[in-house]
Amino acid sequence: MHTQDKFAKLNVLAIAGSLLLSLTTLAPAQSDAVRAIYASAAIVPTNIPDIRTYAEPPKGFNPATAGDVELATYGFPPRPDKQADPDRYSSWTQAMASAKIRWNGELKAVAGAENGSAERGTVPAISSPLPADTTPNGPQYQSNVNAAGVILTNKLTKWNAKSSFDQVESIMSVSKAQAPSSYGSCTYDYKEFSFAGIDSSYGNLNSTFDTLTPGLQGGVYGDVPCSGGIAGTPFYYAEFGWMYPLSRGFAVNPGDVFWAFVQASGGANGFVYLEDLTTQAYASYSISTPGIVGHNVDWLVFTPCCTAASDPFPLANTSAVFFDEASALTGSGGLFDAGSQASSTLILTMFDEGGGGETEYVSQGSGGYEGKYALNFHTTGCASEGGCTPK
Amino acid sequence: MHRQRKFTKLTALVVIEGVLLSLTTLAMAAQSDVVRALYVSAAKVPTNIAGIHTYATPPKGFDPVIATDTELATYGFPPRPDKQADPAHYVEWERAMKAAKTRWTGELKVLSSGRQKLISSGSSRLAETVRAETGPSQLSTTNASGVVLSNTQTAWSGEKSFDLILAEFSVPVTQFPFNSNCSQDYANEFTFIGIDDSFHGGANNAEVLQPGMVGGIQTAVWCNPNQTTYQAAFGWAPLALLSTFAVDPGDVLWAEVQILDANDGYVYLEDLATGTLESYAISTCEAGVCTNLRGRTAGWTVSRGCCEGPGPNGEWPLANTTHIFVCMGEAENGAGKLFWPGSQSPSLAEVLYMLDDGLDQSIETVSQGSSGPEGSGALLFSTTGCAQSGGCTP
Repeated sequence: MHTQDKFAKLNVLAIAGSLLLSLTTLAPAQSDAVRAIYASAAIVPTNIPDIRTYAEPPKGFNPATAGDVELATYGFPPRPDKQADPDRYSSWTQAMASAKIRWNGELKAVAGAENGSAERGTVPAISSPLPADTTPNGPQYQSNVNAAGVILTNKLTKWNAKSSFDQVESIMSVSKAQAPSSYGSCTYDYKEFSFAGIDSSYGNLNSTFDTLTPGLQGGVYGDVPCSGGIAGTPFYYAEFGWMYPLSRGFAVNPGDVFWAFVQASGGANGFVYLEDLTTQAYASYSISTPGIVGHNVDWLVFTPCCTAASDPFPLANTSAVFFDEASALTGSGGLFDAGSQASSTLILTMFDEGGGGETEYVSQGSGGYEGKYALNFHTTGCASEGGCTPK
Repeated sequence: MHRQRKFTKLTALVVIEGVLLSLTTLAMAAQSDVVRALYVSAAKVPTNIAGIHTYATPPKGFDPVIATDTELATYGFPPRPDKQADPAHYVEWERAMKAAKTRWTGELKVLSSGRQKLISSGSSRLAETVRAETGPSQLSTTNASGVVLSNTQTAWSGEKSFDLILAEFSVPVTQFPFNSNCSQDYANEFTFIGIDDSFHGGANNAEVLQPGMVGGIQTAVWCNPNQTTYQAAFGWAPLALLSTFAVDPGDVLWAEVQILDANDGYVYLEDLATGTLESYAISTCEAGVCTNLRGRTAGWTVSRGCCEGPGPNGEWPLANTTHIFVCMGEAENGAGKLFWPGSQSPSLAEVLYMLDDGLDQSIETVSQGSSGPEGSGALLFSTTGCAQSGGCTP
């Protein structure tokens, strides 16, 4: 359990108080100062090194009406600008109104890390069924064996407070996870991780996806355990972290709607806020990182790596996973959305490593609210019907 | 239980043989009319509800993906979209057909709270109908939110009427508004697609109920005893809603409604997560009296049932579903022209917002797009206001 004693709360208030004094004279720098609080106010340790959480807000605290410093102090996401960014403001307002039950449970490292395997990021399909760079003036298409989704990229090689991507968010459905409809017998757990992230995949268009850049992520994890060759009862969790290891938080249920907000609070620190909008459970964490660049943001459906044979785990069949309100921000306030049609946008399709064809694909839009913010993922091929490798 | 005896199967096969003979001499352009007729004639298996029939169980090993158009109609699978003209629909149709595993054969049940009619909100916070110049009109109601496309048909037209609508829905957890503490005994919600299922204001905003053909998901929650139900449902508005198989939160439902002629429709429902499916042919004639379909509207809607509830117009309280995700929304007219819920045409599209009984707040809103696959075909429904946070009256 986290340590949330009076001493910690007093520390938080002292820090917030001193920052408030400086903020009154540094209005233009306010966002930097507030951003710093997201790192400094997280002084409640968790059971995972480098991950800390925030003091409980006082009784009656209302994030919808709280000041920016109070939001940062108690680990609530920053309030978007109502005029400049009404869509994100609306999402934030609904999430804050639903944030009622702060979860303080013990975090668990994800299975791959527990097994000691070196988990890795997106893995390219060796012989890519999709040609890369198929649309010179629009999104680029890539295939790989463990991720589907949309990635927005820039060309940064180090953190830049203005031009790095520093916020990404999305709501997502918690879809039923299961084994393929005719899977025979299983060897490994079927897994699926839907998330929004920063730097969670390699984003250099001039390279292949062979090199992993660790990233900061938050989302929903579904696992269908395999026991004795039989796929068992699935379980679902909020999951987040700096890859790797990821950490598992509170349980969620199929049919819930989940909101993930990820922020780089600087190159060396990240902030993740997770909320189940259906159950009103939420949690937020500050995470020390070896270095965020902010060179990409992503909305992905992912299957973790690695099995004993260093392959990604078999993908759980979720039929469809829905993302919406999927947006991102740079440090200078530049707004981006998952419907980006820029040539710096990557669209990933997941393929079976054993040559069984597409297993997960994403549908993007371009215009209007849903065109900008909605993504629709579909499980297909052997991940839906059976016969993938590994199984 | 449906009767699915050998006799029915034989009858279906005889019908097919006859139609196949005629198909060989018909021009390609007429083929779809013949196949369309087969969706009516092949539905020989009676249900426990008059005017509604289902289809013979296909033979073992039947694969709808490679079946002919005639076989699809004979066994009640949705028609195969044109792979070239509508590739996105084809991909999803193929995925749905591959997932189709178990035909549900249970008894249909009338949902007592499932009557549907669109109730305009009268003195609403939104203007009754905001006729936009550059985008869809906006209309507030007390029992429906969504997008409705309209044409000007006053009678069924084989070419101009809307004759097909489809979508994929998330099945959300359904609950009472937060903090309601059982102040309501019951709440429900129906996510559906339909043709001719909605109010169309017309020039004088006269309240006109258009009976329609609908298919989707009905969820309901009771306080005492504490119970929540999730069911695939369909209906022909005068008959109220009929529930079919149970679905679970986290599932994804594929629904397709087709109007076959002025007096016949077809509904296909499939839970893509469980592979459970069912399809029905529905006649709008009863005891020799027919109500004509017009194919005038096509809608993707979230509604609350009426008309025996505690609301001013008999509305039942709306259940809190947080968000409902819809994708692959698409409609088609008889000439094969495609339409989407992301339509921005002021003459075609209306966006409905649901208000509470006091007409002072939105309780279910919808977000539309405009371009790209998700912009055209996706909708996001959001439960808001007192339906989410509690405090609705009654």
